[in-house]
Amino acid sequence: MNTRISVVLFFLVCFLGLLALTLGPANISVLETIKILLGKGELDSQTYIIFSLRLPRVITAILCGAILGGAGAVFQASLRNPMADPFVLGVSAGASFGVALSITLGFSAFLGLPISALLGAVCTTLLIFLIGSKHRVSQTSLLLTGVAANYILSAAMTLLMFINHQHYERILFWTLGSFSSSTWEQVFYTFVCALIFFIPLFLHHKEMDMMLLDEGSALSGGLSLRRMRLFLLLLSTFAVSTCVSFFGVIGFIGLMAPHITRLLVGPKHKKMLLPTCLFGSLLLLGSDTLSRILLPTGEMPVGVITSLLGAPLFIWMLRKGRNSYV
Amino acid sequence: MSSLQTTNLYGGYENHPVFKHLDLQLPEGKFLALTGPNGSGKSTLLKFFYKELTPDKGAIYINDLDIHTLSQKNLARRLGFVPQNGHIEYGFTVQEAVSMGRYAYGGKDENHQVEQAMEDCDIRDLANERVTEISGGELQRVFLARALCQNGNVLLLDEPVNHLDVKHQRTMMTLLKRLVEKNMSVVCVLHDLLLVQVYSDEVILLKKGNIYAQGATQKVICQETLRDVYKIESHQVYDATLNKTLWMPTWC
Repeated sequence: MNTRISVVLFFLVCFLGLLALTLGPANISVLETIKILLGKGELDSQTYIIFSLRLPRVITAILCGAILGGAGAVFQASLRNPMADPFVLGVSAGASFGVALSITLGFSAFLGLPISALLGAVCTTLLIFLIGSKHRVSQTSLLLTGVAANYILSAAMTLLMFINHQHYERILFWTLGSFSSSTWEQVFYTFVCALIFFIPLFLHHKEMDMMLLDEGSALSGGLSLRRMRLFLLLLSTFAVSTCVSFFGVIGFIGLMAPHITRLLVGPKHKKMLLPTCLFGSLLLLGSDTLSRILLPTGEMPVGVITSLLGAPLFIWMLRKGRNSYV
Repeated sequence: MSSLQTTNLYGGYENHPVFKHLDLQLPEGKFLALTGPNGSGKSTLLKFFYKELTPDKGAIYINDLDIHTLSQKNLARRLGFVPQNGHIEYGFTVQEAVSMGRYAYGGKDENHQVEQAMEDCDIRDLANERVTEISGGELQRVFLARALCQNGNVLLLDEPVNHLDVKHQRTMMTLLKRLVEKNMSVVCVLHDLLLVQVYSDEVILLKKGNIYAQGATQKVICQETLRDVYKIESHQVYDATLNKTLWMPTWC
């Protein structure tokens, strides 16, 4: 069942990817696009548009969607909280703040944006980890701490934009998220990051199942809970912060993809991790494509689309209560 | 030989040591009830055994091995634990939940062990049910089966019959008794003194982090100890089906 769903999702991603390559101000047909991809394009301008502008964008959207979906599954398992994801808990905002602070203080030249994002995200994750590891911390308290961290970091970002007019647009980019300036260099780095993230992730599916047990059962069952939780959270933080450093904050993919997949294949991570990542790719690629074509005058930030899709799901989950939606 | 042993155990929660130099030995192959008033340290003691808590001083041994030297997986192959309110996030099937007990073995011999544990706990019919859709009593048996899958010779249980009706209480306790007959060492936190007297071979009565009394259940549970530890009066009743005289709290 889950293999069939993964195959269907894979072909849907490929189909949507092909469709996304044809859409845009320059009208290029599906047939022409396939010819260009096979190296048989007739017009240099069309080949340039497909290979230099649209293809890197489509690939980065697919890779980021998969990373964000997988990271959502990790956060939900590690914190035993169905509503946890890097965006809701402020980890993406932490990465974004790290980038903005680095630009404002002029560190971005020698520190690099990915490192700045990583530092900001790791600090936020460690804060959440420390609070989440405490005894008797309720799921609601943890979630509210993340939401508060998100608010504080967003306010700090606004302050940075306010006091630093010359970097206003550059900082604003990271708060909204966009794939419009994707390059092949970013494709390469995102691909490497995805490999570093996915290999250990898929090897630790049993640990992720065990983390969904109460603490006593997980520990007595043989899981080194604290170590494993920290490892998986930091691994996801690294992957998410890389995405944020290139493409800004993109919300709710990490929340939507795992939940929709659980409804289809159940909660066992061996079955749900691959479809979750593919679903993340599909959602983000679909959102990015919509962001390009919805406005006749230009593009809207992809974060707006994902938030419009994800926020109602988040509210629905809050209203339904835990466990009743799986 | 003892199944579990503590020497000079000192520790508890942050800024609140529950045990100060606790020495105890738990018997092997018996049903031991761990009882005492609220806050006496019963559940905390179990947390030390499965390494949720680490002692500030002293040592804990399982089958004469220092648990500090054992990895979490290695410890899991010797000891299982059933929590008071076991919880699994999301709707795993009963079989999937029970198979988590084989984690310490890397999934080795998973199917056979899982089937056996479900058979022992009488939940084979529920194998494909979701844990979110079964009753509290059934869920407690799922957690017991999960712990049995670990194939250890020591089983810890923290108030396993809490919130269960009388029928499910009896099912659970009979199951535990059957495990003891198979030479399993069962250490069970219990509040219900009636269950303690009916099912346990030995009892440890804790009071404020210290052992007030330890020994054969019929010797430890008596009017004097109940008065000293719980500050209650009690009286004796004879149960003809068990052919036993039991101490009951006097309710008024």
